[in-house]
Amino acid sequence: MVLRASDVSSAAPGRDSGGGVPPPVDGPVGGERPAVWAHREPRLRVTLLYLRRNPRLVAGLTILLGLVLFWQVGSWLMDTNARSRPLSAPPDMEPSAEYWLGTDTAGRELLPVLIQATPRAFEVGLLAGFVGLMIGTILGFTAGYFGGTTDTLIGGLADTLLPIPALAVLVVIASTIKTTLTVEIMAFIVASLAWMTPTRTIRAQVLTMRERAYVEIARLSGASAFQIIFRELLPNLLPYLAASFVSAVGAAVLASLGLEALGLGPQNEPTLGMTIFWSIYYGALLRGMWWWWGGPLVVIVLLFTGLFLVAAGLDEIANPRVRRAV
Amino acid sequence: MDHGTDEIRDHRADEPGTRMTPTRRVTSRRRFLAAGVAGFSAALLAACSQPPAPAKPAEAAKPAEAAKPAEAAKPAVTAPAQQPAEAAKPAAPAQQAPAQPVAAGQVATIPRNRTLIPAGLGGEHPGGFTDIDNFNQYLPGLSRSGYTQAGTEGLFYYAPLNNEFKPWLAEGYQFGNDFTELTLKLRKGPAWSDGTPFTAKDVVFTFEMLANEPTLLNGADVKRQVKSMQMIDEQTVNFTLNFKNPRFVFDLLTFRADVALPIAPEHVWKGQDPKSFKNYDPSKGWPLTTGPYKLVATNVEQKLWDRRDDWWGSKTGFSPPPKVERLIFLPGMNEITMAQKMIANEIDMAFSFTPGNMRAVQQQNKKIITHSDQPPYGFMDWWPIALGFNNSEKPFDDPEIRWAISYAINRDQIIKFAFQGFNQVSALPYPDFAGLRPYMDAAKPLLEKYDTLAYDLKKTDEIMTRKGYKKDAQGMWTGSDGNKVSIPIITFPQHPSTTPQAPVVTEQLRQAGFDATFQLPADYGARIRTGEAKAYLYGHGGSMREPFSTWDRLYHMRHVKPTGTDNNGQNIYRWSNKPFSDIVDQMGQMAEDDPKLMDLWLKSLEIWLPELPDVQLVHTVIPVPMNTTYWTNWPSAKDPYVHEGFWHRNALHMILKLQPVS
Repeated sequence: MVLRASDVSSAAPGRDSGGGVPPPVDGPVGGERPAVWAHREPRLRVTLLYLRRNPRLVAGLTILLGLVLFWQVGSWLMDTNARSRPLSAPPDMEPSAEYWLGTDTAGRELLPVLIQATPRAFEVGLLAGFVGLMIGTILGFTAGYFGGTTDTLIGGLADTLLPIPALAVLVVIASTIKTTLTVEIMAFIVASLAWMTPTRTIRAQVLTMRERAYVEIARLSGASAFQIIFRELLPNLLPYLAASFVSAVGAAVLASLGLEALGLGPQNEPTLGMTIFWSIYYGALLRGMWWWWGGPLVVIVLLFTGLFLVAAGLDEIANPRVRRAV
Repeated sequence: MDHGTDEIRDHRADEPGTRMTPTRRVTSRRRFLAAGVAGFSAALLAACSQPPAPAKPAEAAKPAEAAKPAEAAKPAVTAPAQQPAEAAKPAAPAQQAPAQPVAAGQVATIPRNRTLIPAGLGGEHPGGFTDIDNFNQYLPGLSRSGYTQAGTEGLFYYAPLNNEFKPWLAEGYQFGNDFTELTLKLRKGPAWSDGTPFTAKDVVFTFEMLANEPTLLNGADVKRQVKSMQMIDEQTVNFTLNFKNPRFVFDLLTFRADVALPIAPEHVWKGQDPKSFKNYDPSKGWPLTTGPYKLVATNVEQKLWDRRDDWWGSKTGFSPPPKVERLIFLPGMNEITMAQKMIANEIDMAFSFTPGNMRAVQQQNKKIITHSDQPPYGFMDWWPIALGFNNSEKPFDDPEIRWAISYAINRDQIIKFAFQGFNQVSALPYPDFAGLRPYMDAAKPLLEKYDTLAYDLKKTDEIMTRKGYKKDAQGMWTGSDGNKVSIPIITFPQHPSTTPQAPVVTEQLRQAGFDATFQLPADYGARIRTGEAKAYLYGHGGSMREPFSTWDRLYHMRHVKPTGTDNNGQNIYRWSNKPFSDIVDQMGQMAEDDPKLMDLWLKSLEIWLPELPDVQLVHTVIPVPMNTTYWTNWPSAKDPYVHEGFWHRNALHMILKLQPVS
């Protein structure tokens, strides 16, 4: 029988001060759970009580939820698909009762553009963040757990690519794409350079974890490397991965916005960066058309603030060192 | 430690030549830090107290100044900038150091008010030059960053706005034997920048080089047109042509817009492989020029050309020397950057502005003028825009599909949305120049029958239905194979005549049921030349005073190459039609004033119009902002001595006429 780390450790992560990863408690095999778990409080109440202690997470989630509501309610209120396209409204209109956020020079109505663009920013971020983190996790675990030549190769590749300015490489990749760019292709372009940091950090975490007693026990019990990685190491890294994922989403959104603002993003569906590209192209700043760049700017600020707060909140769960005193 | 001794040692440590010993380490470090902070603060203060730099020229001069430490001790010239008598001297406060003779690899200081800074070229090389060390004009893709305008001179020049033909390096020409022979007479006096005279030897060498390498720019033209050449004397060349060719001088030897072949110095190019020779070696003064400027610096950010005081034109009295002492060409950049530089007087002229930006810039800097103060503000360029296709690819190989696409486009809406009203529609691929108007007028009856400007969605529907396409649930035309009619359009990332149209045209086509998309790739030029681009927004650069050149360059079947092969930008539509090409060949054998030319023009139109190789859209009207802070006597609608397209080969004539304000 293979013992699982979760069988031998407390479910509460990060009880000791062993760094940024929630280390499992090296308890006696088959030992009883601490008394506090014997009288389990209702899950909702525990969650709410915890959220009270973690206002940054609450604030971040509220902002992100607000953005989700913005596009959900907006799409429900108006035909955003038709009204966000060029020629759907008179050009260069200031915000008015008819055009709430005004129109741009090509005749796009800017409120529907924002309603359409916001979920696309999420989509690119989530997709690229997920793919980047997935690749980083696989490579990080492989390098950290197996070590040796594999570690040298993967680590070397990540270290080589890390100092290269990602945006410069992304510009080259995006400008050589021959097919029409879509949000999904864009996400994969961004993801292609979003795996190095997760690889390095996860490798470092795995290096410390693989020496712990519960991993040793699992190994002695005959668990395969696959089993140890997926059943012992990965569950213990989940809170850390969650916090990393939010950061990765933020980084991916930033990279995609950079490409879009340079005119290298998808041009045929409204995105925040594309709106900024055209506002720069037509000199909206110079011409005093604040409504053109103002809307995307507000959404971008909210999006990054929300992601930052959620990442900070999750970091508190994952990393006890930054946990505030209760 | 004895404090008194320490103090004494510290004083000694400050004396020049005194070495610090380990026993004074603690105090010395403190003193070192204090001295460092003081030094840094002083440097910072000095930097902050410098007058504002006059944009690029002073910056460009810095390395040279740094390389000459001895000059730092020289008294700086601090004369006020506005005195006319100071014209030849450095005057403005920021240009205090007197101009020094330029040693190899160094750049002299030249005042801002003697420097002309054009930015943006024709939209190419956005963000930075990529041809830093390549000055081979016979290779495609070279930036228009001074060499073709200020370094190279034409044998002849033609200015379309005032219909002026001007002999320059050549004195004249004489056709003989029914346009199959030509005697070219060169001017006596022109010389290369290394002192070698410019002679018939250079002309003959250039033509032979091009004839042997048809892949070079103009190479195929020379090979096709020229049978043999003979140098009669240093100023005379006889050409024997392969066929009757009355346009030989105008087409190949006359600088206008971006075309006609430049002459290479035989003593530099001989023995070089013209396909790989870079023509750049500062130690040898390469690239050699006959023009009034020589290259002094080239990098990603800028190209600097300084006036040559030994220019043949001023030495022989042919032309007064230009007042512009330095030219700084900046690469393609976005409009807002150019607008900001224009407002701050950092540049003197910029590539075309969209009307909104032009108004905004003029509101903030009253010194900015443009071609005209009346709409459409700019000058008429030779480059009417069309939606082009690779006609050798399906479904664009079908003329009816091309017409269906043409009927789906509302040109008035393009002008309203993309150009804020400031442009005009273009029914045929010809600019609205005086010389061409009789031909355009004669084409009107045919255009009534084949209305290239018609916007008629019913006709689009009728053609598409007849061709077997059906609209799907989203209203998109779908073929029997279930595929939509995809129109993937590409165009320049930053071009005021094509880029703004991209979203508008794309949306119009989508509304008509075509699956249109657009992209703004940096390698748009290569994709169009190789046919990799299926559809693109691009202009026609051809005729200026009669219709032959556009037909011959852009629609003649001899230029058609398989998709994937670069065709040097000729017949980019890959449209192949033998009867049409035969008529064009006949037109090519007629003199421009031959009355039969009009008949052939109409005959060719009768073939071209039903085929419609590309969908006609609007003209290119280019409003170039020009700054009167430092320079005046700019070209204008009132005095169109040349057009102000500084990226074109005629730019030399503008540079020669500019006058400094102070």
